[in-house]
Amino acid sequence: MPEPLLALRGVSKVYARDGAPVRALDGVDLDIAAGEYVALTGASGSGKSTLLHILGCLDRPDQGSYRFAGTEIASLRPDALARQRRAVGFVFQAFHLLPRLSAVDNVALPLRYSGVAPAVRRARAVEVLRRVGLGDRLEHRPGELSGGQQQRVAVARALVGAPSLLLCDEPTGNLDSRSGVEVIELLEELWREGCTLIVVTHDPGLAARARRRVSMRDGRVVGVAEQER
Amino acid sequence: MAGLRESLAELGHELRQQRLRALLSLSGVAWGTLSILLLLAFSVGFAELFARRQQGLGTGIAIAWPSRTTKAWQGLPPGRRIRPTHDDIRALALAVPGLEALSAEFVAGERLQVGARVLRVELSGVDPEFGRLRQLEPRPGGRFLNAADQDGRRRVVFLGDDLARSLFGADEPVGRTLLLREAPFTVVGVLRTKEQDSDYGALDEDRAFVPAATFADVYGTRLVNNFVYRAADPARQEACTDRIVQALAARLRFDPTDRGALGLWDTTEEQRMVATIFLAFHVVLGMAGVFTLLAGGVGIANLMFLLVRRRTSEIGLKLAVGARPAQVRREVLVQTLVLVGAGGTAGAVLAAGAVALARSGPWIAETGVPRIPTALGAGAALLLLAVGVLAGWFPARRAAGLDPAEALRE
Ligand SMILES: Nc1ncnc2c1ncn2[C@@H]1O[C@H](COP(=O)(O)OP(=O)(O)O)[C@@H](O)[C@H]1O
Ligand SMILES: [Mg+2]
Repeated sequence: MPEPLLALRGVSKVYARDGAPVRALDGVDLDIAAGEYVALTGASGSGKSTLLHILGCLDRPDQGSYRFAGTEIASLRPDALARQRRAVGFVFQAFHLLPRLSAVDNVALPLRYSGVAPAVRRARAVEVLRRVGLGDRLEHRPGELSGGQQQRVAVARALVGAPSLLLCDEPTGNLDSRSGVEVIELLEELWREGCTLIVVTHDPGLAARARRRVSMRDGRVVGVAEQER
Repeated sequence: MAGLRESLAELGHELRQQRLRALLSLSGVAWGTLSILLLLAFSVGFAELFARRQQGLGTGIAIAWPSRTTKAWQGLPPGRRIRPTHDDIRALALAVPGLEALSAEFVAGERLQVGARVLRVELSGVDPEFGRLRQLEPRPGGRFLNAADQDGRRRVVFLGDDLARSLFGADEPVGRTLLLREAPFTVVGVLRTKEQDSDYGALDEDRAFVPAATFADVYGTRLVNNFVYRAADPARQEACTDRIVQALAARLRFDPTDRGALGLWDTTEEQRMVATIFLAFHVVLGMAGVFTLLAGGVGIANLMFLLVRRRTSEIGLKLAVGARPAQVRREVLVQTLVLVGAGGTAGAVLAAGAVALARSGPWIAETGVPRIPTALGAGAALLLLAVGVLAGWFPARRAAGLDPAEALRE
């Protein structure tokens, strides 16, 4: 069997902020193959975001091993780690758009750090915004866009570096159901084009659309289910 | 550089949110730069005025006059008067290597007459090099005494500017004659007005100078009153003085180690001392300015820490989308350098303006003419660069060291 794209072994993460330590992840083992579509579910506080951050190399496990395409992430030096992050598209529940930048500048932000020439950056950002259906909102600032539109800008920003892995943390959590469906359909379209897609959600309807469902409780994986559609 | 424009736009945006704080920090740097430049510009101007006055007598010269021997020599007792002639002094030019210029000087109190006007003056008989040694620059239209005057024992005279005015009033003295011991002397030059803070006998502006050979003829003497010299290398002045004493000792028969046989005023000693005092003065003033600038730098560092804290989630986002820590660090550093550069430029412009104004005031006779030498400008720029790097270093390191997951939660 070929090595999976993502391989977690005994991954634990403990937060020791004021008072009792919180074991956000507790010995997680998980393999995800290239091209999969996985839904990550569980109650609030069960460790989904922590796990997603580790998968996106935004955070490091305290214990255990995380291998991405065969590379042990803990062994990466800062520059290599930054390059690794560029290979991942991350969509945050809270959007995290910069309020003073236009949609197109927000989307172009990651390219600023990967050595792409300014003119090319803008062209690529425009292309991706058209792709997510915001070709007519290029110069709007986040404050001038609806929640659904903002999340689509965030998806465009995740896409602009042409990542092979898309990680989405409750991408529809702050949206009404219609915008939510639009966003999830956009993500699925990207998955069909070959992207590996991992979506955190506690909407059972959305979770049911994925091919595999991973359930979490108290920092542990408590169930993995293959799903037919 | 990656995203310089965006990075500056960010800085501008943040500064607009923090107008007052930004203004205060910038004016701290501007004030520091202004202090350094102004304090040193005035101190340089003052030092230059002082040096000009001091060098009115001549730059790096020594004046020696015959005295009495202080040591017994070849059966002769100490306390003998030594009497060098013009020839003895001229012989020094060959006997002492490393002399750049040398002139004998005869001195007498004398009456000069122009028409009905009679003035008592200090009259010197000197060699042509005296003009160069003692900074006796002629006014346009005239000249100092030259070798032809000396060789021809010409009856020519060079006048101090004050003396010329007293004798000839508003008329042009060059080409006119005056009477010296009943003999007519032609005026060949008048001293260009100069600053002079020291003299022996009288200020040059009140003196008259004739060729040494002419003086010897007129007075029937060969015994010089003193002589003036300068070593080609200022550091060799002492050695030259020793060689001069030895050469004269051989001709006049006294102990070659008898320095006391000559009275000596070596101006290089005081010029060295004054230079040291002014250097200390510059350093003290410069340090005062540097500390003011460092305080300004601390203000900028504070502002940058504040900006990094305010932008924590934004920096976290940049790291999350793949910015290298070095890129984040460079952004903050460049922003700091731009801030410090802006403050420094403002301070430099103010300082240049103030110096330009101060250069034409009535006070420059006492303060000297302040100026910002190139080295001072370059030094200030380097210092600003250092302050910028120092002020930006720690905020930049904090920004680059942020943990993206943590920072995004802010
Ligand atoms: N930075 C942190 N400091 C302290 N505790 C944290 C931190 N981040 C997460 N936690 C805790 O870790 C647990 C898992 O959090 P999280 O992964 O965000 O859960 P989920 O996304 O499933 O709601 C929770 O109990 C949460 O309070
Ligand atoms: Mg969460």
